[in-house]
Amino acid sequence: MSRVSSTKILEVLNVYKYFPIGFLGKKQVKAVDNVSIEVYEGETLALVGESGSGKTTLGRIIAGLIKPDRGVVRYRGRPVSGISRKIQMIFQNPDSSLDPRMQVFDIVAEALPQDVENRFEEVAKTLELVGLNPGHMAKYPHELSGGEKQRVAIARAIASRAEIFILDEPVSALDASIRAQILNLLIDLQRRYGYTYILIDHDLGRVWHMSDRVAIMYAGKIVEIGETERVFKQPKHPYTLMLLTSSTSEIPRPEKSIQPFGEPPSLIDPPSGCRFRTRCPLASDICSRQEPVLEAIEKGSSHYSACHFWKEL
Amino acid sequence: MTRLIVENLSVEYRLPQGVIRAVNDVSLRVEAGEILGIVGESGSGKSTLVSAIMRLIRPPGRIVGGRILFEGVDLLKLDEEEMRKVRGSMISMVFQDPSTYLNPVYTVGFQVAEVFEAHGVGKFKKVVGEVIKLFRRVRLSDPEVRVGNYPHELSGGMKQRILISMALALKPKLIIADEPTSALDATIQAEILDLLKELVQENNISMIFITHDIGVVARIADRIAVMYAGRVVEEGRVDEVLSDPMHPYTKALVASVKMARKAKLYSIPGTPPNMLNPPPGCPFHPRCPIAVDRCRVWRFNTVVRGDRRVACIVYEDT
Repeated sequence: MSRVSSTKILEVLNVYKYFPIGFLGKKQVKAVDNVSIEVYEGETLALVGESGSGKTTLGRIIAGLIKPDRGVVRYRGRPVSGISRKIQMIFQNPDSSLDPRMQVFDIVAEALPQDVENRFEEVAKTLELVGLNPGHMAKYPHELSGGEKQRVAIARAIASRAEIFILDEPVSALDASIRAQILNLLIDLQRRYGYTYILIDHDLGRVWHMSDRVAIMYAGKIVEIGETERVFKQPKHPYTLMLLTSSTSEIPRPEKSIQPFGEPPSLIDPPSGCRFRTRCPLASDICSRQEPVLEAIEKGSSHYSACHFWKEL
Repeated sequence: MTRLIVENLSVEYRLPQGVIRAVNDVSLRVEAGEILGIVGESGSGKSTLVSAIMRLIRPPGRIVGGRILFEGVDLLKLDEEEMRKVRGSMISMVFQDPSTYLNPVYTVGFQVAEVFEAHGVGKFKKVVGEVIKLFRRVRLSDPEVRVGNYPHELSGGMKQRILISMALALKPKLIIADEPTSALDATIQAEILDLLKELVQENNISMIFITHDIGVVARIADRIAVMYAGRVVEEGRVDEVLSDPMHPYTKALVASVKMARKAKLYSIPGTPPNMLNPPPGCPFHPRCPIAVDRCRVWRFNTVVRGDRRVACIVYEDT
């Protein structure tokens, strides 16, 4: 396992994003609701959650594609606003992120910093890093396979001198036999260049494989965060345990299980108190009255849970 | 009697660019009360195969050979009117994206009732009680309220339950489920898989479950058929095939989901074949780690070991 540094490369502080909907935007979807995380240089932090959990919105806020209503994102201590070269997003569907009218050379060259002189050589070098060859330079996206397109998207992020890659379901749209190739490439690049990854993925097998730490999101909030090994083997939030129980991936199974039940709540009018209480077998009175805060399970621990009853797990 | 026997089925698409043999000499069987999982990547022919079983192949596609015996009757010999009766009442389907199959301007209760009407059972008012009963069987919450809901008022998981209730309405003997949970979240997927398994067992229904996800097959299926380039390359009991895969492609698929922390994942080199111009001999040979010269010309025989079938030269008796 790669040794993760203690340098904080990214900090997300009390970020909110509500999307107005309905007549005159009077109602709001609380997509991300007071989320804070720290990301360390060279680590892979996974954001896990089901649709509507806010993981993609959070990823987009970090990438500067969405402006948060409140809160700040800091890169190496400085607040970021808007898109930064250093933070690049890799999307699930490369078709929608690669301009179909541009050749691979131009897609990658466009991302290079202005002062790079020998652009042809630089593009060739970058393509080689991602397992493509100079022959791909003259191709258009439609002439490439799904895996090759994703490699071009990664090459573009490398060319822009990114240090943080937000990987939004980077292999979910690819065929099973191609997925492993791209995941291996990502791991290899991280080892060689110390890239920091924020991996958004619904597949717990891939999260187990790729991540150092994992943040579990539910209905716009982080409910548990910690080292992947500990969170998977000793989850301290009932939702995490329900997710692990539901997973069809090859992952370690915690001793206990919580059978899946119910549906995620409305984000327009979420339940009072704990948002998971409507599906939670541990829920009692306090859960509807008082929202649990994300707290370290022991003093000094890096494992945090937002549950009144985590000790019962 | 074996509920479904597919024998040497082949389906072709005649396109201006050439002929695609999407399903190539496929044989399968499904017993009563059994779930057969069919696994394959996009283009492997799994969806074409089930369209052929339903006789829903449209030009330029054509079934060019084989037999499909459903309860002993060859479906390929039925006329369109007879086949229409088989669809829905004997064999029904559940699809990946329930929204596509629900009409947004009618209530879901009305649409399920229509299934009864279409097969001459009766009008909405007469069957609404039946619909509510069905909704209860698929464990839809508040079934009395749900009959009056429009599709947009329901979540993806609820809509999939509605489609499952439609598939169950006329007490079919075979349900074909084409990636029914791929669009759903993990917890909802787990619930739907458990529901399907239960319904199949309780009612002695047979099911063909198509997916690209080995983990899903492991959870729901009794037997598994692995497809590659239009062929079934391996078939057997799900626990046996996944714990001890024989075909190199199955081995690779199983290895590629074994997630060891931060170790290199096993990856299959190359890309799936271009079906317009498939490789000669065994279609997997360009990506196969153990391919020998004969694989380039060899004509694919299926070897039987107990109730396992595998199509690979290394298992051929010499």
